[in-house]
Amino acid sequence: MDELSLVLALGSLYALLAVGIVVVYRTSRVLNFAQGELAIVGGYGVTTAIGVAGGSVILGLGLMVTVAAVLGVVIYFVLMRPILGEAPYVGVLVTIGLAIFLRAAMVFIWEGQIEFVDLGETGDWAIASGLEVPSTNARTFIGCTATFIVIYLIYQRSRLGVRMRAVAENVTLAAQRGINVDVAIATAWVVALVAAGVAGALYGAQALLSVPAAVVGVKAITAALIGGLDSVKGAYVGGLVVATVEYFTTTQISARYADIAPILLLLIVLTVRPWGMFGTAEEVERV
Amino acid sequence: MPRLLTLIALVLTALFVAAGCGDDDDDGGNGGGGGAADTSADRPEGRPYKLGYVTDLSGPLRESYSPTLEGFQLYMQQLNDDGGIDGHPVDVVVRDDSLNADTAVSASEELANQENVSGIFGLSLSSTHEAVYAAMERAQIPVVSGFSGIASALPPAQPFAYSAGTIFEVAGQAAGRFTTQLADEGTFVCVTFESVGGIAACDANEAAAREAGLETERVVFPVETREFTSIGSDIADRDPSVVIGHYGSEQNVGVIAALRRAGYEGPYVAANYGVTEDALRRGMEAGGSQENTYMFGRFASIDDDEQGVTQLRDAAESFGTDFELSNAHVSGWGLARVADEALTKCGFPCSPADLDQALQDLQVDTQGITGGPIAFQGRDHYGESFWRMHQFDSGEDAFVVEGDWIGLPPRAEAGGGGG
Repeated sequence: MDELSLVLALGSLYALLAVGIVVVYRTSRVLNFAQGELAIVGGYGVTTAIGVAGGSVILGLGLMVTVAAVLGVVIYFVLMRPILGEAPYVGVLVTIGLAIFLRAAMVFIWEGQIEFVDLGETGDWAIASGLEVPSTNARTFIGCTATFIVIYLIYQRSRLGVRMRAVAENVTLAAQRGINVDVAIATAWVVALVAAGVAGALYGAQALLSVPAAVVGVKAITAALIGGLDSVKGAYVGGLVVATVEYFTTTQISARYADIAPILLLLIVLTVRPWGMFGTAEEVERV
Repeated sequence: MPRLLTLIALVLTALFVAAGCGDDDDDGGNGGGGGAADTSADRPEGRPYKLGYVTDLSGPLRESYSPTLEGFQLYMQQLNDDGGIDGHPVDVVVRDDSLNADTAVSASEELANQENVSGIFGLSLSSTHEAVYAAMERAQIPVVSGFSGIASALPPAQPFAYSAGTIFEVAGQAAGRFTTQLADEGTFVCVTFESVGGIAACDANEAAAREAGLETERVVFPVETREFTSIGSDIADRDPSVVIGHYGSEQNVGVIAALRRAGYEGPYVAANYGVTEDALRRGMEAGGSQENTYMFGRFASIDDDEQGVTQLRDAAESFGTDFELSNAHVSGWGLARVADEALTKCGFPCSPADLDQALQDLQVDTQGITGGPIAFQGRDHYGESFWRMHQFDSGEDAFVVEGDWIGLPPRAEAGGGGG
């Protein structure tokens, strides 16, 4: 049960980070290479926010999510809006620059210190008679999955989500139909940052926060590509696949290959199905 | 187009800021990353000795190596405050290698050829050492590594290669002794990351454990790994009698937390290669247990009362520090004592050749921060080493000494032993 809960916790965490990448990619065709850095900044941010909120985890998380949402809007209008219509690689370069900037910011603001996010007890939770799971795993799984579901419902079911998807399909046509493209893409960035912030907070409670920990973004990109870069539900499956491969490589083969194994799987998936498990072939042609 | 140019400028600014973050710390004095610059009015007026220091100040092991540099700088600040060496201050020119061997070599060459330093101290991960030692042998500049030397300094030592800290083959041998103190049966798990030194330490550690009748298993992970829950779960499932970790601070924090959360309650020993007491405390806190946590190393803990440690704490109070004081500072202080004694013996001016000559026959009283003197003799550039273990005492909230120093004789005298 511990093993299963660990795989589900890590899988849902990678999935939440991956869905941020997918939503941004779908609406603006930008592959966000800064998602890992955004997550760790979110994790550090929540430690600060909990302090500001007088030790209240709920208030601290709320504060962090609010700040993340505002930063999502700022990132869109300051960094991404000026390059609308430019070649996709320009957006990628900007996110790489953002990642570098965030790494520097983490050192300046939090001095690159190793931090844990204290979200409460670290013992076991009884989920059924005689069945216990580590609370950190359960908390990560529940937090990430709940956030993922909210994002999925907003994206698939709400009017805002419909507008975002319309922009994803055809920006010009969407604009002609009166959809505010700025709002749609800015919302995508808000979703990406909130997802990164929540994932970062839970990652900080599950593992540890440090500047190099931003490498978790590589796993998120791998999950997004395995699931399909334009598929929200694919992000969740991709996250679970990455976590499963990583866990079984660590325990059955060697921890040496735990980071490389999901990437090898990605290569296989992309060879057989270049658009990912749940992606559409059309997206590959567009890129 | 102007928007695009603005954007490119923004990205370049970000790159510049990021680069600045891991910037070389060339203060021409003793300040920089280790706290305040040397602004003392008491700075000696003689022409300065100039030493180079290369280490990882911005890469994955920044947390482990920066405090060591800080300890080195604190010693030099105190030395300069006290009048320097016969009226000559010691300037330390610092370079960041970001844990990259190529960067370490180019930084060392720059220090040798442009800064004209007498010698290079510090160094970071063992995987960077061989290249630096080779390049500096060509340049005929002595290199004295800190707590993570490789076998180049063991007899017959490579010319110009010295180590005043931990050589992993020897550390592994010491670890083997501590392993068998903590468990006399069952399985010992050696955990390390992909590095020359970590693997060498595990080789020697396992050899000693097997000799004592323990089963041995090994877990190796990439240096970049930062998420240890799977690794912790894997190790806990093996139900080991003792676990020893040969890596830096950040890895210890993650592994301790993951192990304890996965239910492992047995002894965990942190091999002390720049692993700070504070990092171990954070790992224990995150793991929810302060029991059965040990560390061993060649240097005293910052919690100890030896004369050298007290002097270090006093210097830290006088000059300030950026990092929580730790045994990593102690190891930097010890390295600086070696530099001080070698420069004193060398006299002024001290050319690289003269410094090398001075190092070849040197005995340094470390004032209690090691179990005996640090001594180099002829082609033995490491000498006898002493090792000691500490256990965390939650009542005292400190690491307390567990047993006496263990002396490991120079390798030549030990008949090629040491791993």
